[in-house]
Amino acid sequence: MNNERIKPENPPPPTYAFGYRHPPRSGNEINGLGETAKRQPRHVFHSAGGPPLDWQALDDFFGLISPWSVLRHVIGNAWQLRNKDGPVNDTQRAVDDPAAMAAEIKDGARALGAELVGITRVTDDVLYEGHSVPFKFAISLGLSMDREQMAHVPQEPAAAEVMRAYKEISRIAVGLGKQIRAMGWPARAYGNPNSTDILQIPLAVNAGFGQLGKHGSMISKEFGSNFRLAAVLTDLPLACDEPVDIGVEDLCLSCRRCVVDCPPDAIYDEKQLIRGEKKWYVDFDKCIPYFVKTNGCAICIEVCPWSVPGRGPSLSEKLLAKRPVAP
Amino acid sequence: MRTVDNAASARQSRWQKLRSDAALLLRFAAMTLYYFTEGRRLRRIYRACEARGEVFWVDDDPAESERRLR
Repeated sequence: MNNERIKPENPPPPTYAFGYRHPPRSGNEINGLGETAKRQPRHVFHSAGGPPLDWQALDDFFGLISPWSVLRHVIGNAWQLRNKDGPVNDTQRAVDDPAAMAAEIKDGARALGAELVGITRVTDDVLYEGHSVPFKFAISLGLSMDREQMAHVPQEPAAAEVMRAYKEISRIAVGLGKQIRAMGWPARAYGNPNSTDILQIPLAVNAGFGQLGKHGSMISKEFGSNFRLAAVLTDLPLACDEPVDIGVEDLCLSCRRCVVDCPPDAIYDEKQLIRGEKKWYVDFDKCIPYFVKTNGCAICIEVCPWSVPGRGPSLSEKLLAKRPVAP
Repeated sequence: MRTVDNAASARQSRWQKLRSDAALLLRFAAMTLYYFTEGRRLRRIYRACEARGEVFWVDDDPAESERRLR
């Protein structure tokens, strides 16, 4: 199983025994599908507090029909995140060499269990509209999921594995934040998969993890899309990483695996105009009901050729080598 | 401008921290109780709707969907 592409067996049909009596505004409209002007994204579905969202009722329903094997990880994660902030040491460690400090922080994150670590600046494009954070830098963290469990998509064992991975990466983020605060610098861990202030995917792209795939999720060379993200935001001076080109565009332009395997037919074959930018996009109104019905689906990220363990590096090498050389 | 993940916990004394942890534990206990009581009822009605080809309205009182099943 480990080195094979996952083929979901008999995924349930995209028919639903739940619905809205008073349908909310289209999630695609809220996401800015077809909008020509640039703007920050807005919360649609997952919420971590604040005023009720347009699709809140479906998110509440999603929580209540989730199996206990999933929900216990959600609660465990929220319990860990009570320590996302904390007291900052009065004695601040001076930082003369941000590159050396970045290397130290990355070593620290890996020692805690992170498999991917990257650093970037906090910019407006990683924040939700109306939100601000009092930090300059973001340390993006990635942790792979158990492929054996994820082979069960879109069934319960895969949903439980997703939330277990979130809980584990939250533990890492909270631990790293604590280490930074012990150095006398403020830091806050972000490990909640529910929307908070920041968007984890653009942050990870900027931190050099990989690129956005056709299925609307992150693709890294190391794990494809079979991983989860968290972050620590801080003012500790750090040298930043740069976005990388691993050849995702080259494959996504011709590959249709996720499009074909998506039961509700939610994945666009071509890039769409989203808030003034052409990018890969998943139809929210088609995806989310199926996501709810199957406790989190995840078919698209697991059938992706990049997610086959060990395949990413050679795939990237081949795709980049095929590019025409500029005269 | 606002931030959902506020930094209030950064300024808490040990006593305040214990109190906020206890409050969070109580919230989780209430959530768990709700999941196994009201949630069980909602899941039962939803499964019944599914079996009967009816629609469970997520934005309405579950009792409404239950009434339609009778």
